[in-house]
Amino acid sequence: MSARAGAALLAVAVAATAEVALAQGSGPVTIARLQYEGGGDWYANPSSLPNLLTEIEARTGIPTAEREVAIRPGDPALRDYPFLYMTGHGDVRFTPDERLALRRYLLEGGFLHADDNYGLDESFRQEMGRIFPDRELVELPPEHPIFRSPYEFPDGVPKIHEHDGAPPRAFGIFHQGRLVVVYTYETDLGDGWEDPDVHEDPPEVREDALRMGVNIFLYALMQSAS
Amino acid sequence: MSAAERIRRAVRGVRDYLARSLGFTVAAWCAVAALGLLMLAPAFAGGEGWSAGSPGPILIVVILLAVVPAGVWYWRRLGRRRCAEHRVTRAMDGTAGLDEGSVLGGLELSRFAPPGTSPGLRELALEQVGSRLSGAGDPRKLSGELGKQVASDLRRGLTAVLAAAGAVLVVLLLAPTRTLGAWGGLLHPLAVLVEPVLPAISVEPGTVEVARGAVVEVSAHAPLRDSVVLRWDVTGQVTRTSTIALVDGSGSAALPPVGAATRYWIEAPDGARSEVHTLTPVDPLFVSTLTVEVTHPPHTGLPPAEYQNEIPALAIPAGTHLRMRGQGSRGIGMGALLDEEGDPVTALEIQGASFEGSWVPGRSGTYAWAFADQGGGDAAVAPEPLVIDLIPDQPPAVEIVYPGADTIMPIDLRQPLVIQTQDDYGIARVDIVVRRVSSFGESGEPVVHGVELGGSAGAIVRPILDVSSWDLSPGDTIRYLARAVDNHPSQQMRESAEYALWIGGATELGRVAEEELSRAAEAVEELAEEARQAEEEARDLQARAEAEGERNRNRQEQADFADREEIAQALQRQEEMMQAVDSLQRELAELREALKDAGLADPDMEQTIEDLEQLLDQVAPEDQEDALSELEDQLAGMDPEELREALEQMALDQERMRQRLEDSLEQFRDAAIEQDFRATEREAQELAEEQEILASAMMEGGDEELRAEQQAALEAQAQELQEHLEELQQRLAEAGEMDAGAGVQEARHQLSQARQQMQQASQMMQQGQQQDAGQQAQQAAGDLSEVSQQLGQAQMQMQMQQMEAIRTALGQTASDALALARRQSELRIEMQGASAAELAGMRADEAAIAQGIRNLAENYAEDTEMMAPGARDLLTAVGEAMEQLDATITAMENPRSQGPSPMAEAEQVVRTLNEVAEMAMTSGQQGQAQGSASASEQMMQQLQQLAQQQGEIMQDASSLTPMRLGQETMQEQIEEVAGRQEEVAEELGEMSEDGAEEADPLGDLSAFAEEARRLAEALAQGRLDPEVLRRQEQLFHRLLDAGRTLERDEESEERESEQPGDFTREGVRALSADDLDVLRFELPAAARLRALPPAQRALVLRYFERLNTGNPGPVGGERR
Repeated sequence: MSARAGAALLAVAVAATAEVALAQGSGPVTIARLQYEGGGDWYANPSSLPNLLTEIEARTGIPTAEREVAIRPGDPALRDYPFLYMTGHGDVRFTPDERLALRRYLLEGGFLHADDNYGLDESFRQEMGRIFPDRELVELPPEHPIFRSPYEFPDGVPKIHEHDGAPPRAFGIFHQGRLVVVYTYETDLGDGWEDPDVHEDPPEVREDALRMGVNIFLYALMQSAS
Repeated sequence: MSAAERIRRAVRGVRDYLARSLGFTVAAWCAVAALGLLMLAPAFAGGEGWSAGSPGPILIVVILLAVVPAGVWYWRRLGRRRCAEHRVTRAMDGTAGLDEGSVLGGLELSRFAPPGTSPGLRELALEQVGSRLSGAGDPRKLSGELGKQVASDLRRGLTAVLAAAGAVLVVLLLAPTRTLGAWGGLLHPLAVLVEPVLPAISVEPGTVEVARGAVVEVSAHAPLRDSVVLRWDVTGQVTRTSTIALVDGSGSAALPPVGAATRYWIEAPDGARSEVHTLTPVDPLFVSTLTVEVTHPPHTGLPPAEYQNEIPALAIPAGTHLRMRGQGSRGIGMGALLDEEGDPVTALEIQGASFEGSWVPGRSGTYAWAFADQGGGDAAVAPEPLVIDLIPDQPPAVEIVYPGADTIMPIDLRQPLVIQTQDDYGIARVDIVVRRVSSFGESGEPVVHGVELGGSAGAIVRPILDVSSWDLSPGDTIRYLARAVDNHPSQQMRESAEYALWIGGATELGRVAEEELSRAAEAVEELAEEARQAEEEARDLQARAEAEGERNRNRQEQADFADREEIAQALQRQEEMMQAVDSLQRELAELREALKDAGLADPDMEQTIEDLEQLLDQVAPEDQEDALSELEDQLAGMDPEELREALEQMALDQERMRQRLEDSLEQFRDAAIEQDFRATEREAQELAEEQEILASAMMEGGDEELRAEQQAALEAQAQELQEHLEELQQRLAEAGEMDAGAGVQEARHQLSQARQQMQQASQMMQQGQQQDAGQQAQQAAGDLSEVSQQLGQAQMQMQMQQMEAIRTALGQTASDALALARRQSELRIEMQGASAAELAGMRADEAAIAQGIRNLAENYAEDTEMMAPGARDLLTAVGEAMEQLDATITAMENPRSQGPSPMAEAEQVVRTLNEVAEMAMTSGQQGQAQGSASASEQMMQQLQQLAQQQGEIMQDASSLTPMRLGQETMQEQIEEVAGRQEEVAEELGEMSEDGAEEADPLGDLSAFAEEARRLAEALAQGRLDPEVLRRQEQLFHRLLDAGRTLERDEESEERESEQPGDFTREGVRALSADDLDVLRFELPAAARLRALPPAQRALVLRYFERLNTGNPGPVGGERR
């Protein structure tokens, strides 16, 4: 079965989830961009999420908004968004209240994709350690479904940018079997989602980034529907 | 034709003519007779027409009918006599000139020839007669005299007919009704003749139900009778009668009271009999069973209600639907609900003894029930009237209770609102309608923010009016109101009063910042007090736990549950305090950001606020918060010893927190005072500038009244400034800043003078003494300027004193630390070769050094108020020295232990104290080093300052027009503003040249500079119009944005993207069950859990939690 056909089939399964999100948010599904303190540029890669949302709608049929929404961790509206995304180059710092709100959001059905844009790693891991002192970021093997559907990534998360030249890795935090956090490191998917002329990525690299983004988004919605 | 034939024919013709004429004559006379009867008929009939049974018509008809046969008979008889053959032939003889008897003879001869008659002669004879007759003419002539007589008779008959017809016509014309009526009777003679049938008779009221015991009046109707007999029989009794005399065929009589079914009828003397009717006695109608269902309008949210029988007065909202149903004691004929005028408001549907109906009352009132039985009798008992109190739906009430007045917009452009709204049946939503009014009066489109309330009856809404993204400028006004919409279908609405939020300029926002800092200082003070109480509590708990521990030393049981709860509460309180500190820290950060965004980039103030934030960060450090959370988590499983240790730690943490809060408090107060100084100085300066402009305007002359008013307004501002000065002075006195307080006192004195001069200037202006007033105003401006300078000097003096105090304290600290180090070094030398007893004796010296270190720390904290650079590091080093000193004393107690020797420990103390001294000495230099900034930061600060200047220029320019200055003064002021605008343009131009190769936003600087220059030119030409103001505003925002963009880029430091090269992936192990955090034992389904009582549900969940965490815990003990 081709990847595109797989995406189409999956879109049918995901439709119910999207409906739930529509009913809750009275609008198309969108991605919430986490606005954090600490000095990091939470607003980095401004064209990335609009592009990803467009591709998700085009490839799966799930109606999506044109743009993401920016949201702070303590905002009560956080619960309205099934998919939370964060990126940046600098430090991440949450207040105790924000940590509590994020933990509650994630344990109660939310999903966070953190994408290191180079420089986020240390502070992000610290904050995750504070939010989930009882959990660890575990590396996701290539066999994990997030790399299998609708697009196949037999080697795991693709490499988009050089950064430190290390292999790209994807980590996760699970809660009762559910993947609640995905952290992509040394890959920079967000750069790959940006407009082609921003980083002048080769088309195949950009396509890999978008496919991986679609995989992550669909996986998050699928498991929140199950 | 033969002669015989001719004779017979002639005779026959004459006879036919005569017979015909006689027939006409007879007919004429018959007609005369008939007409005569018709003419007489009205006379016979009489004026009323033929009376019933009259034989007249039939007789006349019979006579008329008899005339015909009589006429026929007479005609025949006359014919026989007049038309006899011999008479006719005789007449013919005469006419034809024949001999008498010739025609008769010829006729007879023609019929029969006697025997022996010669045929020839006969023929001859016949021929002679025949030929004479043929030549005599037609039968009328042949008839001769006879014919004439008959014709004469005919003429007389016809004349009589005409006469009779005329007479009849006259009668008809004279009395047409009577005549026609009489003739009508002739058409139906038998009907007139026959006797009439008497009409039927009847009796009322017929078959009906009547109230038992009622006396029924019976009415008899028997036309053409004089009396009837009323008969009635009561069931089981004999028939009784009563005669009713009739008048005009009608009469009445009363039947005895009806106690049982009664049949009745009437009979007439002619034998006629009415229908038999029955009177059925019935009991009265009772309607006492009534149910009223009340259905309130959906928007009220009120539940439906039902009332039975005794219906209370119903106070119901308009639109309420009432459904009524009930039962009567027997069949109901009619039912209705009547208003106070007796008009039915609703008809009830009747089915037998039941009734029902529905009604939506339209107005309040008392509504009576009307019921009647099927006989029309009113119900003896009916339900009580319905009393309806109809409550109309009131429009909602809405009020903005906070701020509840026109005020200045907070610095962060986010104004918290408290909106109170209520409605009798619920509020659907509250809209906040906001619009911007620019400094030159242009109103923007209103923006509506809706808050859905879902129909609650009353609500207090606390929205934040956030206009931070509106690109507002100083001088703008935000006007807002709240609009409540209730949940009535018509969506009634009510609007609150409209309030204004002024976007303050630098002066107002500086004052707001001062208030924020003062509030922060108060919050820190409260927190310090709270921390003190918490510390005492923690100490108490610790002491109690230690006492308990002594008592239960040999028992390994867990601490008492109540103690544990108290500790948990204390921890909770500590956590809340830390959150409060975090919150305060965030507020300060927001204040700092908001000041920057508002173009009030004052580096000193920014630095002060950042310092305060850092202080708060140290009050509630991350690790302490984490430790607190950890302690809370572990509390349940701690044994008493662990608990005691935790309590000790908690008490220490509380103590540290309190100390840090108390240490910070002075800095917060100082920051508030400094900001108060800045704000007050700024107010004085602005007031002086305005006074200067006004003085010029006064001296220019004209508009005396306006200038007097403007002077009075400025005097009012001066009064406000006076109050601020008083508050500042009091604050300085409380802070012990006596010198600065004296400076402020001097400024107050100066301000008092200025106020007097302003008052005099106003009075003089009113009296038209313009020059004198202008001079007074000028002097006031000078005094005000001196007030501003005085304040600046006082503030500088205060800062210098503080710096001097810190410097002195640092010097003292360094000196003390060195002295202590020297003493410790001496002791260390003495320790060499000292016996254990000698070492023990030296412990007192070490204790003295320890006290000296403690004193050093306290003096340092008190004298520097922790405001010296590196204060925390220095105190940390002091803490290390204390610990090392403790270790030294411990080593001195056990010199032979395997740990470090007392000398080695003492060496550490000496080294650390030397470090402390060095830190104290270099503290000032560190402070200077902090002032350095990167080129980008300098550029950012410069841009922010330029934005601030541009904002001030814009504000000053926009304030000139409302002052309505004279031409000369206005020109001066515009030139002054133009000069400042030109300065901004020059600085921007320089920046543009210097920073051409810097980041993107700087590329716009040349455009900014060009725009600033064009604005300066426009102003220099005296052009100050809305267009110029708008362009100034745009430049202000663009400069602000450029500063922010620089700042963002500074934070971002985005890396250059680079395509990936070769790399090698490492193997990743498969995820384990632990990685996935899967539950070993699935929880029961949610539905099953929900079915359990809460306590049981909690027990089940706890059980599964322990199963899944592998920690059975005390569940077994709870199992029963």
